[in-house]
Amino acid sequence: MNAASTQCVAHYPCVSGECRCYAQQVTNKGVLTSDTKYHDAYVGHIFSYARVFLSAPFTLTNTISLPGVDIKNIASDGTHLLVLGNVYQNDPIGIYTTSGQLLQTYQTGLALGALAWTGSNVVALEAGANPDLVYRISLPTGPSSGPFGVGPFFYPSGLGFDGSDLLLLTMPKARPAS
Amino acid sequence: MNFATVGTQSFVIDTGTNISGTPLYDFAEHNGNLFLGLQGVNNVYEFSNGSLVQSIPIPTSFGPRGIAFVGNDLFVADRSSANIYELSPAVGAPEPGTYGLALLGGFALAALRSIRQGKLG
Repeated sequence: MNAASTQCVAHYPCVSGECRCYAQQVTNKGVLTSDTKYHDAYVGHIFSYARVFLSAPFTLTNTISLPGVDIKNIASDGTHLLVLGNVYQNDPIGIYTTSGQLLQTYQTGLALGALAWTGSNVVALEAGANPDLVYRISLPTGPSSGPFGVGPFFYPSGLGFDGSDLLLLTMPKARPAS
Repeated sequence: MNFATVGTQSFVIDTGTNISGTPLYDFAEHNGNLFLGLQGVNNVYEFSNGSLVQSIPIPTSFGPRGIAFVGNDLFVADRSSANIYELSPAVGAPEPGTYGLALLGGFALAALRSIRQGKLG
């Protein structure tokens, strides 16, 4: 192992003098990440515990250029890329192959922020309303249903689906009541 | 940053990552792991069971605007350049997982040495 290539990639805040740091090293066996706890008064001297994870490294293999598309978010139906563009009050969802060929565009008539694929439909987030709204859209031609109110959340910015529940990425701070 | 269910919010997953003042952009789930992108940070962070397992550098200019998987390939959108980057996992890479003492000694010592030398963080 080469210490010179080790770097800290994320920190936990120190609590009562105990700190945690994730250090990462890329090797020919994969990416090693250590989850290390140490005491801030004795840096490097006390390890309460340390775990090492191994995961497959990713390398850039292709760049898809979409000139003229103001990309706000992407999702996938498992085969295609669903690209949310930015057009005032009418954000388009483009259905692309993974090589970047545009197959079809659906004009949503909405100002959206994020997409998620449920296995049969797209769910789209319209953030900023109180509550925030989500829509269900049948691609490639519609219709859409909703809106369904969710939240309100503080800066919701990403959507996902785990097979049963919709997942929403947000900041921890509660939005003040308006 | 939190990762919560909507509708009747049933639970919140705290990623445990503290990157001060950094708004969120997007996330994706793949093989049970969470891939997270942050505004202004040109990485995608992979979490497994709440623990960071790797930080993947992405050639975006202001962080990953969107993250998606098609098969095992990771696609990351960059709004500024209007590019979508495709990243593939290394062929023949070992199964992801948590490993113990065999790897722990050398790496922990390497991390320890780097902390002492002020190289971490």
